[in-house]
Amino acid sequence: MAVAINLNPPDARGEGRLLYLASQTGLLLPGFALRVTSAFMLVIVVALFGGDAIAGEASWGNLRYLLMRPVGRGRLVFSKFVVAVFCAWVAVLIVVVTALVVGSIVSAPMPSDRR
Amino acid sequence: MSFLTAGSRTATILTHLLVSTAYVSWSLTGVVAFSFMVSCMTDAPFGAIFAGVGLYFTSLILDAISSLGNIRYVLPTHYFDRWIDLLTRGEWSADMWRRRGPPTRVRVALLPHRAVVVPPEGHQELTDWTTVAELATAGGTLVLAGRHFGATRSANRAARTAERAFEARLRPVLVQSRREDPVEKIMWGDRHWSRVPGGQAWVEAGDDAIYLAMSVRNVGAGMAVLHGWHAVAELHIGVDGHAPLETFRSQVT
Repeated sequence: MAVAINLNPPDARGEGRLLYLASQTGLLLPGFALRVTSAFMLVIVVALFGGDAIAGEASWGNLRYLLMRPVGRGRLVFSKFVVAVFCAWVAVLIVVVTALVVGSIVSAPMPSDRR
Repeated sequence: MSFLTAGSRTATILTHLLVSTAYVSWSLTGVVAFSFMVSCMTDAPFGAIFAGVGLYFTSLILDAISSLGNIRYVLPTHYFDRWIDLLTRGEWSADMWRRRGPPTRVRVALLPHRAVVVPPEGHQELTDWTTVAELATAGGTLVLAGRHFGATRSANRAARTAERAFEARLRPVLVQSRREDPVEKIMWGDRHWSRVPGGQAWVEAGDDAIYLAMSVRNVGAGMAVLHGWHAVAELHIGVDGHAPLETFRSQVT
């Protein structure tokens, strides 16, 4: 994505304002990446974490064995939910950190730093 | 003044990025929570996943209908994009981002919900065909989501029935053997041997034991293990239950 932005600099007055800013500095590439992924891809990934947590176990038949353990149901559901939320946050964080690293490598430095 | 050239330090941008990340994470937590709730209600993981994604897109479509007015402010995805102002503010007027609202003066929108001012109602035409089409699309999406959920539920029921039928098929069913069944040779624990013909039983009074044997036939598919026996001295016709389990003599010990 960063390479594509560098090769094809967007118009300042075009549609993607965040895209233009991201072409100005690699620091804002995470913002653009977040904008693009959170509209569709992150939603699906995040829904996967939430939706697969219990129904996935049930469809594989593992839930029965999980419930046999001496752990209360409320605690099981609560900890599964916490882990699902944590995984979702980590997914968002991975997008940002990756874009930050790539942006600092590929894209131009800060205009203010250049001065 | 531009956000970038107004002497913004790297630290400022990084802070805004961090806040944006937290905001997006918190927004997506709603999707997680909803699909998790559906996940507790169904056996099919894909149903739960699509329920979360469906909620998101239905809310997006409904949010795009401007004639819904203030109702849209309660939609779960209405404020999903507000974090973008954090990274672009200064360079672009807020009118480009909120077509219906006045620009806000909040410097750091830690809680972007508060930054949105409900605009005064403008003049609007309600019988707009675009709006009608959008409403129909949203309604269709809702109906599709409902149907999908219903289909998942009935698929669950079918799977459960199939599982029960499968378990019933694995059960042993013991009946008395037929006359044509082969003669079986039997050895008791004290190395006493005898033969039981098909369809019959064997009773033999030995010197220090009474030997009982019976030929049975398993017409089910499962494996049967006979744990014990209970002999009754009179003729029993028809099924009238069985003796209490404590009175059975164990085969194993």
